[in-house]
Amino acid sequence: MLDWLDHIVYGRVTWLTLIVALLIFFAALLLSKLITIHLRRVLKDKISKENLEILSKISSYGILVFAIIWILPTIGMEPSGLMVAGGIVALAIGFASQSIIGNLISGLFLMGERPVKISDLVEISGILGYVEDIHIISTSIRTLDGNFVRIPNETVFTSSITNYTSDPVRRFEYKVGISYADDADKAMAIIKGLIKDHPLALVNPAPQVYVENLGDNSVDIMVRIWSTSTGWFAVKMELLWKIKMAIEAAGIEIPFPQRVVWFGEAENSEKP
Amino acid sequence: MAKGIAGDVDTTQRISWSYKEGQQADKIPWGPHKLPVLLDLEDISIAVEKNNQSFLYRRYGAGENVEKIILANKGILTLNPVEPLHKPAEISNYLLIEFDQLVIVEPRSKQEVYLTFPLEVACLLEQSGVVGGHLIDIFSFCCSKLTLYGNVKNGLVCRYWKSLAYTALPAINPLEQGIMKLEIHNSLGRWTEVRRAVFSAFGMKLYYGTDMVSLDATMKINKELNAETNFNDKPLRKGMSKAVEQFAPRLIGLQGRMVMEEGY
Repeated sequence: MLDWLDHIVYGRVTWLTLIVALLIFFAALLLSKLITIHLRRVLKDKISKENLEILSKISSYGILVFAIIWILPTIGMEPSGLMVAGGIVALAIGFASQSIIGNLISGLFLMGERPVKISDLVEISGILGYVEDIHIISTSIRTLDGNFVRIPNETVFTSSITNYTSDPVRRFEYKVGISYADDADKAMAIIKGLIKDHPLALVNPAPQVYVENLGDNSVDIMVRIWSTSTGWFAVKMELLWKIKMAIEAAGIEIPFPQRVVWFGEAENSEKP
Repeated sequence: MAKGIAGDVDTTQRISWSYKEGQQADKIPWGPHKLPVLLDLEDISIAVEKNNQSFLYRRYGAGENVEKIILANKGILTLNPVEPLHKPAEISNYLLIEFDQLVIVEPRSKQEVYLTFPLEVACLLEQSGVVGGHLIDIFSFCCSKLTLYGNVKNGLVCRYWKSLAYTALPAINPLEQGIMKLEIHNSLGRWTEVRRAVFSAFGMKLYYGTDMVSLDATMKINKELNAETNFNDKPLRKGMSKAVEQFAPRLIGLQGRMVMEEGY
């Protein structure tokens, strides 16, 4: 009844060997999935998320590559023979799939260099968002307005990358303009007090508050504050309004752009 | 007492505590309190009141209002001092204490100083006969502040606290601040200046008594710009109880040891 299993499909490959090869491949696929799940579960609290992702991907792809190399002789393809044939095929495929290979190699370099990590806030090619995953071919980003963007790794590798969360802290700044008639020292003392009271405004590196410029319309006070790389934006939003309210409450004016116009002499105005 | 609590809460237990400077402090109501309960601690009030088949947890005062529903028929509210690293939440596991005055330590010697540290108070919900409580709230009477230890690239974000270095036990508000005994080992053959100490939250061994919360720590100065801090699992004096740790060490490498590589 199972004689058909011994029937030759091609060369010396029978249906049985084909089925065995397929079973080995699916078993390897299952094993790679199980090992990935197990690694994620066991190492979840022990290594960082991005390292865990890289480790699970390496183990997953490694098992699949090993299984494919094992299967090839059983389905009549000698890996050594493939190398010769592969040279020609690779040349053809290489031309046809330049971008895929480029992305793949870029992906490997990115995993080695690691300019971005999963959950980092980055700007790549003008796209700002959180890194969701780094695949072997592409990097996926969730923009701040919630859109999913897939960027080929070649683009990531060749673009300038701004990583806003790679360092533990970062600085932001405001320029606060006050009227020439008001006391800049008083305004600066108010601003320093607000910074001192905010828990996420760091003590060190120390904040800077100073008169930076005597502008056309205002005395410009520069405010530079260091905060954590994860919480800086909330601090920036919160403090700016508090500064505005506190300065105005102290009777200090934040002036609009203005220009003083001097009219001509009175005697000239009498002429027709 | 905070407005809005005292008048409309049906409580069987009511405790008030406030610090009077220069006077013998009352016993701080650390430990278990049977529900329902009303605690007036300085300007913060905590009420757990019966609400049909459940309890309503409320904390008012110091600019914060917290309300939680507890679905239980009975329970115990335990006040417990915890590592001062929960406010703001999940930002730092390190406490940096900057000394208000420079401390100069004799070569090859062991010296002791007393420092203060900010206290955070945890409200744990427990049940008699059941091991382990559930953390429902954390608050503090101290303002929280962060700082960076080290450089911008690789530094550590730490909870910041400035303390005088005392040579004897200081008189402080025991609900606001704790007292840390810091033994400084100067293994260098020269006078050493110490400006700050950084501690890891993992392995902080807090002990509390009715009038004090304490930590016992060691700082070993090994070389130029390099020191190591650690906690000793012992109270500052006999009769103190061990506080429930929220930053329990999970891995062998996180037993409260902190290597300060960016100076001290």
